[in-house]
Amino acid sequence: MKKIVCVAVVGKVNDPLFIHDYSGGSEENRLKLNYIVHCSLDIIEEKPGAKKVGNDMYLGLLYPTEDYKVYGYLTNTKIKFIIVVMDSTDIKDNDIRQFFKKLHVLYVQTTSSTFYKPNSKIESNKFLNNVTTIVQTL
Amino acid sequence: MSQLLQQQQQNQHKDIRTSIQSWATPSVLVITSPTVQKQFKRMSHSLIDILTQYLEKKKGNRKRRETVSDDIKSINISIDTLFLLLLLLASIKVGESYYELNDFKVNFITLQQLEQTSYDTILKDVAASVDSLATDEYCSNVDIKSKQDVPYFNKVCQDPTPWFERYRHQYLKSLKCNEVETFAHPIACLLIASVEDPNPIGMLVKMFEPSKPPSIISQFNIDPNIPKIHILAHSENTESEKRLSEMKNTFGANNSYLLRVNQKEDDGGLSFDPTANLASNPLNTIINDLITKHIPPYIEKSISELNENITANKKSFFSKMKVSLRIGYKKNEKEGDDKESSTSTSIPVETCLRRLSDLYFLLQDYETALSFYRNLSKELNSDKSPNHYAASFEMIGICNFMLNKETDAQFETALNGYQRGNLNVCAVRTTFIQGEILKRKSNFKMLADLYKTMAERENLDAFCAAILLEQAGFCLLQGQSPSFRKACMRIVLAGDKYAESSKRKHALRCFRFSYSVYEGRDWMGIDDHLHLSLVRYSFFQGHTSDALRFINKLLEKNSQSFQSQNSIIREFLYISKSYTKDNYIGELPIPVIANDRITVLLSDYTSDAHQQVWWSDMEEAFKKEASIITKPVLQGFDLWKRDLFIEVEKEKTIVVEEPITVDVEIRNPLQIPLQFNSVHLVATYKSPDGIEESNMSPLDQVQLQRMENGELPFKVETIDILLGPSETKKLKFSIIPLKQGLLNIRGIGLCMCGTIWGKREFKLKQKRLNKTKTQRESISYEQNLSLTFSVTSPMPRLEAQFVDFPSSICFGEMKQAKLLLKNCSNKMGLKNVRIRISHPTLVCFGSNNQDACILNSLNSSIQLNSIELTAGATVMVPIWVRGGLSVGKYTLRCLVYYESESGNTDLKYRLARCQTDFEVRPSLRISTFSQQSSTDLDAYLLGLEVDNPIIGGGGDVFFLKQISSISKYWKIEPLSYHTDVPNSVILTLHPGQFTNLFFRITPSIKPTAALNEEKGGDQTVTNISFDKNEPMYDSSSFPVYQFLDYEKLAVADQLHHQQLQLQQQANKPNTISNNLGTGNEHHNQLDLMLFWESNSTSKLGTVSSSNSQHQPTRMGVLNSTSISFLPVHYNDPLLATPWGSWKNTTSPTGKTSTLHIDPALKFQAPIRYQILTPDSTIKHNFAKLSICTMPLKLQLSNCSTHQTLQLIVDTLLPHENLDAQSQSTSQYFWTGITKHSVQLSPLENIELPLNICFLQPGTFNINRFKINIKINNGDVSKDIYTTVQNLINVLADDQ
Repeated sequence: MKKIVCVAVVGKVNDPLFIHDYSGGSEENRLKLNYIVHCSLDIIEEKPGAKKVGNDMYLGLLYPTEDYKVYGYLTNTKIKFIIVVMDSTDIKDNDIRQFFKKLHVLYVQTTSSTFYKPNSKIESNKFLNNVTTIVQTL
Repeated sequence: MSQLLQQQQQNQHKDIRTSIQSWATPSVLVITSPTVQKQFKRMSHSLIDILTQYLEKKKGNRKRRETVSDDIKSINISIDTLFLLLLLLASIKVGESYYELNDFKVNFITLQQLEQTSYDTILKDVAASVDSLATDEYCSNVDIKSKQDVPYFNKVCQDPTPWFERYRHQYLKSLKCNEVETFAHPIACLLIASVEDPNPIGMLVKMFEPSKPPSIISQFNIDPNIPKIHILAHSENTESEKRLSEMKNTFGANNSYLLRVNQKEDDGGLSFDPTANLASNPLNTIINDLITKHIPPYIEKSISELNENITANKKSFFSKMKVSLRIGYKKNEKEGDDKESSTSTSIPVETCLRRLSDLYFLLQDYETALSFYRNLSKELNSDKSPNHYAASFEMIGICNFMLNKETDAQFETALNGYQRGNLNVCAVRTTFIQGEILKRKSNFKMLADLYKTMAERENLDAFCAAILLEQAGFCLLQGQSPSFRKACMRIVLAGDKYAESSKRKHALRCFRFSYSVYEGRDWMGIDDHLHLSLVRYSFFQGHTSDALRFINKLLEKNSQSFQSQNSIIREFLYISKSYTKDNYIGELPIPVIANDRITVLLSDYTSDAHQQVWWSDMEEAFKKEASIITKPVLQGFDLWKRDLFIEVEKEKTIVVEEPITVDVEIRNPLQIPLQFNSVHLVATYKSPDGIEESNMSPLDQVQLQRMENGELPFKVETIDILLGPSETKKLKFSIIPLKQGLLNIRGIGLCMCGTIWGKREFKLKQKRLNKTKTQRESISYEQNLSLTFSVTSPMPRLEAQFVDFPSSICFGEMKQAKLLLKNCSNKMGLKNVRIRISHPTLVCFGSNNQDACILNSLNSSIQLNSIELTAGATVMVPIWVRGGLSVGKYTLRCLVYYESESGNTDLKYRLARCQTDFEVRPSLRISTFSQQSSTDLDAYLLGLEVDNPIIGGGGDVFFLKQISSISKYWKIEPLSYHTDVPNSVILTLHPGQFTNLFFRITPSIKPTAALNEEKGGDQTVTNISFDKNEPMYDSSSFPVYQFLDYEKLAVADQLHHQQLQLQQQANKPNTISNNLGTGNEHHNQLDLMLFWESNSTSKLGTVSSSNSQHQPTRMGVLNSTSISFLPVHYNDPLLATPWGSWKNTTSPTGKTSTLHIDPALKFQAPIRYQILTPDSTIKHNFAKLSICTMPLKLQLSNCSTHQTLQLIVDTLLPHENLDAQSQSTSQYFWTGITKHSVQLSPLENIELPLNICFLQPGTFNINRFKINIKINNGDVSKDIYTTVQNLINVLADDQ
């Protein structure tokens, strides 16, 4: 069973830069994940004010829904990484932290491309492949 | 008062206590005999209706009743057809406690209502009851786009969902869950029979036999021993009294009533009349008796019975518990109490407890009720009977709430129990109550979760779930940190649920509200979902334009898959077909029109901006000529106000019955192929009377037929197209106006996939207005009139076309061609044809001197006088074309102006265009130079260099045939030969060759001052043929002479432009040489024409003379205009070398080059001079006389016809060096008068005597003098040194 069902990168102005559904579920399920990711922005918006310790960009568990857990990561440039994880799976917090770090690196590599227009959708296939790879390793 | 009442009723729903109380209201069962039912049916009113009416009127007088009667405190009637409610004062004594209930309410129910078919029906009815409250939006003009909007929204929109409380109220009131509660159990029964029944008394007995109660009674363990009131309905029947006494005997005096029903009246005479005496109203009496006499004793009785029952049971409870976990029985007591209960199944203790506590609850003794509910909950097992268990906890919670105590835990237990027992309806009720409690505590987060959890339960009624989700959403907006995104998600889900329950108005509102959060943020999946929903429900609600807007958005991203787009389109077609009138939808979302590439093609106008540049100047000139528009010429301060003078753009004028063609590019944005049928232009037409018509309707057979019959003001053509995925097509549409008026092309109309008609309007770019202050402050746009046309009465239409126009022409070559003018109209003629040409010097109209139409200035048009075209006539205008332009490729544009014979006020003239491309190829080049003759003061030398510039082969061979000069005063004669050209080779120019020809210019008539003033003198034409055997060209006739004129005009025009440019570039005065010269106003000018012929038309290969015979001879004229041959002088002695001016006048390039001489040193002055010596050889005996003196004459001539020259002739002293290089001083000197000062009037000749002395023999150059010239009284003063040798040979004669 796959642990991560959705990976999303959300831009500065809360517009989705990248969103990919790994659940392999129906259209309806994908829509639901979209909504979950969108809703998690509410929580991210609240988080940094209360808890911003040092350089840690990891926000931890944002909120649990009945089927999923949502984790967030906020970079210093206000790029948000959000992953939705199956609730049934037991993942260590540290693993998630590592995953986000890898994702961040991938994001930086991709957006450093000369051909990438800042704050636009990430359409790079390489990025998608790399993310898929790290999703599977988790 | 009624308003106040309504308000009270509205507010009533908001209070959950009222809702609870209206739920926990005792019922009175109403059973009627079939005859009674029939009776009421016959009267077009059912019993319920009548009672409703009766009570409705009663309600209207409620206030009054309160004052009239003290025992009826208030009568509050719900207009619900299900329940008839009475609020009465009831005094009930139970044991020691005495209850006085002010708000004792009773529900009247029928058996059917008691049976209560299914929860679904109830829920549907409840949902329907709030339909009228549904709104289109929560709060108008307030959208939530970001977190910052939330507080404002909360402030502005206090109660976004007014239907929620109403729904909750109705829900609580309507839901009777007889399984687990006893509130709905009737506590009394009204039995009504009619006199007309065969055996009314027997019937009344049968209706409710305690031993054989209706099945529903036993099903829910309802106590069958409820008080029964027997009513006999009669209509003025005399027997009624007798029957009543029978009834009284049978049922007891207290339980029998008579009800007089007047069958003649619609309402049976039962409607409530407040003015009538209350006591005389039978219904009123019955109800009063019911409340005061029958119910209280029953309640008292049943409470005591139940109490006994329980206490009796408790004794055996613990022992029974050991035996079985099952609910205990109490047969013994039941049997003892009454015989009826023994026949029915014995009542378990929990039921007794429940009924008991419910009764206390009804009596509003919540404390007692609470304790009994607590007992009940202990009796129940949460696993075996979760619903009962849950219900008991729910009641505990409610009692606590009614007593203002803490409640949460009980409700949670209740919810869990209901969930286990799958009793969603009750769970929802619990949720409503708990929700209200949480809301009072402002615990919105928990409230949102509560509602959401409830809403997500399986098998929950969709509308209910929607209401709950919606509430959950709005709860999330409350509180310190509102989560508006989550809220919107809840509302979207609510919308989905609403949609599921077919509440489209609610659904649309939800989607629209949430849309503002997602709009423009690129959440693809969400956007698609929302857009699709919005499209659907906008359509359902009739907001077609919104639906289209959203379908546009849905499709513009083109992010969906092929399949989903297919289904979207299908759905769109289906919905739009079923929800639009006449299958006409209005604006369609697809296809995409490239609005910036719409081009209109008219015969009179072009829309091609690139072309327009070239035509517009000519069009503008015609406008001016026709004096339609006179643009003011703005100068100086006017420029400040130039805005006021800008011409307002007018719609184009077109002629009726002439087609307008519009090019439109349409694109299919989708990944699926789309079919469009009958694509045509849609337009609005406004007749001069102001009546508007349009074809914005389906172009079906009827409409097509009308169009064919000419009933429409215009006619359109239709095209069927199939656009592949993402395909772009350029289509040409045409529309033919049939009536005069104003036609505005609005867009294209089409039938999408053969199903639905619609249109796509063009959105033309409009100019932002920025002229006035108001325009600058507001945003207003200029109307774009490019698709608006004013249709005018018929006009002839001219078509023009060049015939035989040479595509390639040599420089100077002359050819004949034709211009074909055709009047396409078969009704009227045209006149007043004028022509403007982009290169006016290129073409001469006419074939000979007689019919020539000559251009007078480059800016004017050529009027073809002789041409008037009758209807359908065609005329060929002969033209001469001369390659009078520099080498290159050109497009000749010709604009033909014409007017209708009959005249037209709207459109004075029309223009026809034609154009042709041509190329000017190089032929010969000609350059000339001139110099004053050194032998004759009146003669000049003309050098001509003719050059075939094509180097490297491939060029043509040219033969010079004739040279002609045209001048007023001068003629030319060959210098290099006398009669015949000595060698014809010099006249044949192969590529790369050049030849020089020399001519002497001599005066043809002596110019005089008088002649000069007379401007229109005859021109002298000199023709010199190089081949005596061939006929000569007439250089003074058409068109050769005209082309010369044109070329002169062109040159003058060019000069004018250059001068203007120069003036603009610098304000400094022109160069000295320009000042010095007498300008262009002198008569020493002539025009030269060189006629050439060429046999070869092919560029390839060398020309052999034998071949060339077969090919047509081409001829051309090279013009060299205004050759000026004023005397040139040098004001520096250094330059005064012999033939100085000759030095570099010829070069293979054919250009005279004088670059090495500073132009400041060279100047032209109208003076000629010459030394006249009596003899060029003198013999002198120096031995005899050492000095040889000789008289000379210096001849001076003023060539100017108007300038007076002041001259000082000064001879040079011997030691004065003339030439720095020679270093030699002169060997001769001047004697006698060595300085002369003279004045020369125009054209005057003078001879000055000079004496020269030689001291030794030799050859001497008599050039040692200078002439100082002053023109115009000393404006210009220059020294002139001669450049011409005057040699004198002095020989020593020793003899």
